[in-house]
Amino acid sequence: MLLDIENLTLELPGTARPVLNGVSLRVAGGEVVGLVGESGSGKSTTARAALRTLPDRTVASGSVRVDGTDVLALTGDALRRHRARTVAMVHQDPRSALNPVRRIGDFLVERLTGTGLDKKAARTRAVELLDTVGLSDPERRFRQHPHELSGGMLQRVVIAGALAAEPRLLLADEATSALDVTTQAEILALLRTLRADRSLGLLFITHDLQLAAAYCDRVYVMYAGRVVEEQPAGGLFDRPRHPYTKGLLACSPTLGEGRRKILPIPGRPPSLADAFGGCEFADRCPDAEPECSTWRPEPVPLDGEGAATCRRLPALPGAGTERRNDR
Amino acid sequence: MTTALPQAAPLLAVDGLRKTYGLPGGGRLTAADGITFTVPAGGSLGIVGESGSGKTTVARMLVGLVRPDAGSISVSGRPRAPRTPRGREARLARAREIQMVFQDPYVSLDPRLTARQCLTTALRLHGRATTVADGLLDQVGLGAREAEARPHGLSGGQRQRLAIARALAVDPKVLVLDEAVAALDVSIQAQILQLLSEIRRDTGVALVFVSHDLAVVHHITDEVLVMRRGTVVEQGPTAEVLAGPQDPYTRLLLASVPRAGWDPADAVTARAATA
Ligand SMILES: Nc1ncnc2c1ncn2[C@@H]1O[C@H](COP(=O)(O)OP(=O)(O)O)[C@@H](O)[C@H]1O
Ligand code: SF4
Ligand SMILES: [Mg+2]
Repeated sequence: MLLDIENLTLELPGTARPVLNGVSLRVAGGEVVGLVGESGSGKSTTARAALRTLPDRTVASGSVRVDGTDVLALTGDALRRHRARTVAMVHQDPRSALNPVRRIGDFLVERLTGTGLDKKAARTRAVELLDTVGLSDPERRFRQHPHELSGGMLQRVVIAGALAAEPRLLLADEATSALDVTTQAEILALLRTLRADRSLGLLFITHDLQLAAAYCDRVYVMYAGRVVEEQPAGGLFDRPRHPYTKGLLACSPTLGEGRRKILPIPGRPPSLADAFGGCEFADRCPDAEPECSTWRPEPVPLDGEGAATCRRLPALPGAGTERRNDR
Repeated sequence: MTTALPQAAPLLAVDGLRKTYGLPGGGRLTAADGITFTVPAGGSLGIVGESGSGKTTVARMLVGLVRPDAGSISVSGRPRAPRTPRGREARLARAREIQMVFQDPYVSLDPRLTARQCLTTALRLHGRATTVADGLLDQVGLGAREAEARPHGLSGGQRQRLAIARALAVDPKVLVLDEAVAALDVSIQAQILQLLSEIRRDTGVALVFVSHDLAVVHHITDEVLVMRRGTVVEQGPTAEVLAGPQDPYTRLLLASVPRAGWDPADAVTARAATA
């Protein structure tokens, strides 16, 4: 297993609940895994755990393994190497990753020399990488500055930079969220090709459940620091099982088949100041019973593959986004 | 889908709007050109397109933040003056025609005022009874705690509710929303969309809904304008345009929307068909 997070709990000082609560998540080589949730659910923190760029004074239990290496135990050179070589991260805003006064090529050459290539080889390789990520006229791009390129082109440059060290695992944190839809589709098509060509593992983080379900092989849904559902992506459209997953689908506007009424989930996503004595979703859940507020959440295996963290799972219908009470 | 009553005069009529900007090296950039549409009372028009297509320029011309080079805007048959008028009464009357809600309400809300003060200030300015404030707060789903909170003490969704309430405090005929739900969490976005439908039904305010998100536009509008590089490539009833797009660019936008069975490579193919 390329990325193997096992029962990871992270606590920050001064918060009412853990940032991550018993998170288990796996990404195999060549697999695209989606991680979906609203803001504050813990998606970015999960990615940071894989890189071990967590805030100071984080208290961790559980384990994070990348290619068998215990990431939480890494120190010094081994940790630096882990961050520089094994895992790469692509964020939402490509401009924040690029120095505005330096040329695109210099950014890539610096990455490449960092992996041990000499200057000349790095230059050749940088032009190849710009070509790999689908930029036309890579020689010219090499000499351009960030302000001369569009957001979509810059995100390709950042992806080229991420590939420079030939990582095994790519973490994409809302990497296409700021792009126009047509550009998003192009970047996603590119990532899919790279995954196939290099057997990269991709952890694809997004707030957009429709996107994750349409694009990924498998999807994890997070809520309040916990994984509430995990399924092969196709199953999410047809058979979402956790009430929160169903709620997300029912409240997302979609195209096609007339105009379906959208059913909002009442309330708001919780912050770290909200503590819970039971299921975190209870006060927003249309299926909640009094016992849910004292239930100790644990994943319940689904009939097929996957699991959902809901005590009422056996009793709840598994089919589609059936109509719910609209409060 | 209802079609507009043929004889009803449009509430908002926009004809031939154009805006160009001078480029540093000479020449001009056409930010928007040939923008023509009408919206009936209680109607909802969407303007979709990608970044830089001219959507926001059109929205800003409607409210008077950007002065058009050409074209006209009228509300209830009365042409809007191209500049903000000098007299106080005329200025307020103009504000009552069209109000705008932005993507990030933070910048448009006074940080020193509580939600209730924000509303009573707007109400007083427009000579309306300040007692309406509580009704407005209730209408947009803000409770007693939020009424006394300042913008930094509200969540993103609550701030957007407040911005909508403040726009409604003016009792406008038209509400222009520019990416007003784009920055919100999905569950909160759904709440705001539902709120807008209710407001439209209950007050008869007309919506001009500017968005890059086709699914949201599908949900909340009756008519749609698809913009690309400053011009309208396709225009018509939303359901028809999205079900049977005629323009290759509209087809590209639709092919780019993720859904069950979607392949991003289809969008790359559709791109090749556009000029
Ligand atoms: N360095 C930090 N210090 C304190 N709180 C943090 C820090 N980083 C993240 N958080 C909090 O942890 C929670 C989860 O954050 P995050 O992992 O960024 O969620 P997501 O990516 O799903 O939006 C949020 O409430 C966030 O404000
Ligand atoms: S455990 Fe209860 S409250 Fe939680 S999701 Fe399941 S039904 Fe809803
Ligand atoms: Mg995040």
